[in-house]
Amino acid sequence: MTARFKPGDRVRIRDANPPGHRRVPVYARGRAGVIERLCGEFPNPEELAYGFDGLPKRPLYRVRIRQTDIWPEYKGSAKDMLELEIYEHWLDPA
Amino acid sequence: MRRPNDVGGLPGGPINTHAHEPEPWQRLLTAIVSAVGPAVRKINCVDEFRRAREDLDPDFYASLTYFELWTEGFINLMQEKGVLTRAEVEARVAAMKARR
Repeated sequence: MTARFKPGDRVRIRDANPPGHRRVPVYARGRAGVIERLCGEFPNPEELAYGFDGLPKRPLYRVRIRQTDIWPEYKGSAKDMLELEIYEHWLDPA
Repeated sequence: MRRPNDVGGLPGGPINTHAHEPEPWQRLLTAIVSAVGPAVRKINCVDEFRRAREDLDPDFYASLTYFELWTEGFINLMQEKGVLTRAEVEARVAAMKARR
C-alpha cells in the first residue's frame, strides 16, 4: 500500500461538493487537521455505492480536527478534538 | 452538495431517547434487507442501500421515519436491480389491505 500521509501530517479536507454518495460530511469539508492514524485500505465506498467494485483500494485515515475549527460557537475546551475517518482522495497536504 | 442525510450541525429539534421495541414489520424489513445483502444473496451492498436512501427527494426524506426511509430506499434499489418493481409492491400492499 502506498499511503501518502503518515501520523502527525497536517492535512486539509477538500472543500468540494461533487454530487452523489460521498463519505465526508459537509461540516468537515475545507477543515484542516492532523493525521491520527492510518486505518488501513478499503474499496472506495463512493464507487461501491453505485455497484462498482471500488478498486483499487483507498487508504483511510483517522483525521483529528479541533472542535473550535469546526463549530464557530463551540463552548467546550479549545483542546477538544473530533476524529473523522476520511479517505485519502479527500485529503490534501496542509 | 448537501444530501438529505447529511444534517451534522443543523438544528435538529429534541431527541426522544426512550428505548422502544421494534414493530414486527420493522423486524421483517430488517430480515429482508439482510437476505439480499452481501452475506446471503449478494444483490446489493450496504453502500448502495445508503445511496438509495440518500437519493430520495429531500422533502420526502424529511417526512419519513427511519424504517420508512429503509422501505422507500429499498424499493427503489430493488427496482434498479431488476428484482421487483414499485408497481408490484404497491399492488401487493393494496391486495393485503383489501383482505383485512
